[in-house]
Amino acid sequence: MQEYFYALADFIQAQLAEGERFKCWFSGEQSDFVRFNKGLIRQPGSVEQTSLSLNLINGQSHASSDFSLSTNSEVDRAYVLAMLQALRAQVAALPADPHFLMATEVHS
Amino acid sequence: MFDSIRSQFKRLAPAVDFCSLRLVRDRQQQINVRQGVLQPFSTSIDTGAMVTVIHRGGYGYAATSDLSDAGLASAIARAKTWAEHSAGRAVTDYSAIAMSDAVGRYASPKSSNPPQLSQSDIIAILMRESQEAQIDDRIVDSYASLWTTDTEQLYLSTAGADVFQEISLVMPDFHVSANDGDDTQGRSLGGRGICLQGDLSIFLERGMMGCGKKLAGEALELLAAPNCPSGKMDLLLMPSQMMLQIHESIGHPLELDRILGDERNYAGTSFVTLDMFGKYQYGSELLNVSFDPSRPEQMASYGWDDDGTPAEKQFVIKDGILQRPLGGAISQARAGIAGVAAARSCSWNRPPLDRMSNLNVEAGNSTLAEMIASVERGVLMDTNISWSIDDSRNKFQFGCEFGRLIENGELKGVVKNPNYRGISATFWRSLKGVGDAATLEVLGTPFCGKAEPSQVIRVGHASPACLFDQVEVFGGHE
Repeated sequence: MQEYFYALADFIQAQLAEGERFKCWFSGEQSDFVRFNKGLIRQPGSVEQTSLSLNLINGQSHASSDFSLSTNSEVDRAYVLAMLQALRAQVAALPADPHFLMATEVHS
Repeated sequence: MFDSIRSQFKRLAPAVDFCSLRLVRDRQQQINVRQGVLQPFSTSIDTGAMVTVIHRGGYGYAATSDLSDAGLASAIARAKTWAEHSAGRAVTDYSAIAMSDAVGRYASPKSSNPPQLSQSDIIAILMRESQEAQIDDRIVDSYASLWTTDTEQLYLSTAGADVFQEISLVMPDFHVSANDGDDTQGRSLGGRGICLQGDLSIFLERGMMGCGKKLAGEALELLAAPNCPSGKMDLLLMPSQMMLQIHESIGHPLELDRILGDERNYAGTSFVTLDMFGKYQYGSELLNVSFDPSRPEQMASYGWDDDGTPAEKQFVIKDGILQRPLGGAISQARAGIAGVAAARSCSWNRPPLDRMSNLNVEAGNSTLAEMIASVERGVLMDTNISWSIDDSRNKFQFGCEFGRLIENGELKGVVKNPNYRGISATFWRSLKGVGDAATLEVLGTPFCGKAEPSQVIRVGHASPACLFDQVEVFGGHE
């Protein structure tokens, strides 16, 4: 999954127009849940979900979008392209954010 | 997506007693302005499917954001495995419960000529209200926002169900804080209570226009006001406080899964027991409370709940007598008692639970003027600001933003920090006046939480103004 995220981030980087920067966060979960009442099972199940949070920046203006991922590369790249298009339109209409601060030093 | 999933489900549905698939696409946008500065702009699109399998008495669910054949097949396999593990060990025989075969569509109402507002138009309105709130140096904070959601949900089942619902919510909000020394007072647009189905006409027509200056003036008025007096007196609650009173001390105690003990270790239990239904005096004979999914503009109106059960208006309390709990088809079968179509999930990634939907106090016959005129000594309270209630939903304490004294049948001066306490089991029996339709407001909240894993869901509460007899009222610290 980490490789999938890195590949998606590289794809986003390749779509940027001049002057644009981005940040993105990946969230994923594979969980099982079982609830009990008086020693008997109720509502057992599992949740698998992945999502991307994408922040598009141009100068001091920025906008973000969170969206579900399918983990299918073709499907998710289509989502990313649609989100980038929508974010570009939003950023173009937004004023500069006076509180915007982006870390540029890499720490990991 | 919604068309292709039908053929996918037909192709992939397992050979089990029952299987359902609930596909959800939820789109949201929030525009926020704080102290005249536009906050970072955010949108979200959340898409996924929940599969439920019932087989040989067992139950299992699996949620996935992968809507390919492989993703759905994997979810079906996981749900089936859980059903197999729980068969013979579950709280009930799930296979004995008749599940949904309903077919239909529901959509939120739209006005005939909805306003066409651009992103810039909305920002301009929020900025204007935020700036116009700055009427005094003691106004130290303001917050204006518009939150919109559009949710599409398709419910399919092997019993033949095919229900498609589209729900659009518009939730404007405004809050202003005034400070003087060690005293801070706030006023808001209904305490985040303007939550309605519809279009952007709600943003323009339900209080946002002009609220900045008005609410700032009221916050300053509160700074100058004396504390609410303490003692037993009549209490006139406006709809923006009735909303939370209904929610905490009628809605939550009547959730059937809570009564059955399912939430004992997390959200709590209830002082209500199964033997009370049909005979318990919950409130005075003036109290009529309905589960009402049919008000078009109300936040949690829908045609079918998330287990596909058709929803219709029913009384949960009639003439003060407890009638039925808020419980969906599965809990009704477990308890052997009739409920309402209130099995709801917050999204595709959580199973349905017994929830409130629209839970309303029905309008009565008294005008606001009549109720005020009947009070010798009391307080009018408006807009909730704080709440505390025990985990059986019995003993409570609520605080409001704004109060006004009532003396000898007349409204008198503003008081700040108005609070009251009571016990659900007796409070509603002290109801002695219910406002007419002219006093009724349709409100809601997007933040009702319970369950493990956690679910935060949207609920509606409509209520008239209501008058209560000899309630323990108290003010802030002098």
